[in-house]
Amino acid sequence: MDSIERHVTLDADLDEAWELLTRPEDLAGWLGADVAFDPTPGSAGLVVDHDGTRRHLTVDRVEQGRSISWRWWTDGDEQAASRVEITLVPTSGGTRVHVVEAPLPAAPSGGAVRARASAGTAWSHRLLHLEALLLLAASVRG
Amino acid sequence: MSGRRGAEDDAGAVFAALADPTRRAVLRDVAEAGPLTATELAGRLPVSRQAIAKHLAVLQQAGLVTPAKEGRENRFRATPARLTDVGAWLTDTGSAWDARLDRLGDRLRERRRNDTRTHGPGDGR
Repeated sequence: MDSIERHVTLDADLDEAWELLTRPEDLAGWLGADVAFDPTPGSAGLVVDHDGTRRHLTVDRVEQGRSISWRWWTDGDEQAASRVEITLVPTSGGTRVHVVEAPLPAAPSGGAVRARASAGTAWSHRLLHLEALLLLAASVRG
Repeated sequence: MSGRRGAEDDAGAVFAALADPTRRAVLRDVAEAGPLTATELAGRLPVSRQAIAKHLAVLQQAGLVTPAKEGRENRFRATPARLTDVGAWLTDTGSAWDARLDRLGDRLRERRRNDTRTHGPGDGR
C-alpha cells in the first residue's frame, strides 16, 4: 500500500479548520468547483473539479473536529476508487491539515492482499515503498 | 488476467504487490538482470525457489512481470507500463492536492476578509 501525502498549516483554530473541511459552501471554495458533501458516515457526495471531472464519494469515517475519510472515484470508474483521509492537528501556529490519498486495490485477488492493504502501514514503510517504486521505475526505464 | 483499467486501479494492485520487501527484491532483480527464471532468482536471493515462484505470481497478477515459456520453466521480464501508470497516479494525485491545499489557504483568507468587515481584526481568544 502506498499513497501520496500532503500537509499545510492554516492560521486557524481547530473549529474553523473543521468548518473549512466539512461545510459544503467552504468545500466548494477549495475541494472542487462544485461540491455536494455531508460529513456523515455512509453519506454520498459529488465533487466536480474545475476541469469538469466528476468524482463521486462515500464518507467512511468522521471523528468530529479531528479527522474525516472518504472513498472517491471518477465518474464511471468505480473500480478505480481511492481513499482520502484528512486529519487536523492543533499546532502553535494554527492547525495542521494532513492529507493522505491512497488507491484502493480494485479487484483483490486474495484475502492476504486485501488484509495487507487495509492494515494501515507505518509511515516509514510507506515511504520505503515509494522509494523502492521510484528506484524500480528508474532502473526499468534505464 | 483482466483487461486494462484505469491508472488508479493499477496503482492499488501495484502498491499491494510491492508491500512485501522480498517481492520488491525479486522485482528489482528481474528489472536489473532479467529475464530470469524462478530457479535463477533463487540463486541470486536468499529465498527458496518455491517462495520465489509465489512472489512472481503476485507480481504477475499486478502486471509488474510477464512470463515467457522456456522449456519447462517460465522466464520473467519486468513490464514497466504499470510502474509508469503508478508514477502518473502519484504525480497527478499529488499535484491535485497541491492545488486544493493552495485554494484551502485562499478560502481561509477570504473568510478572514469577510470576518474583518463585521468583527474587526485582533479579536483574540
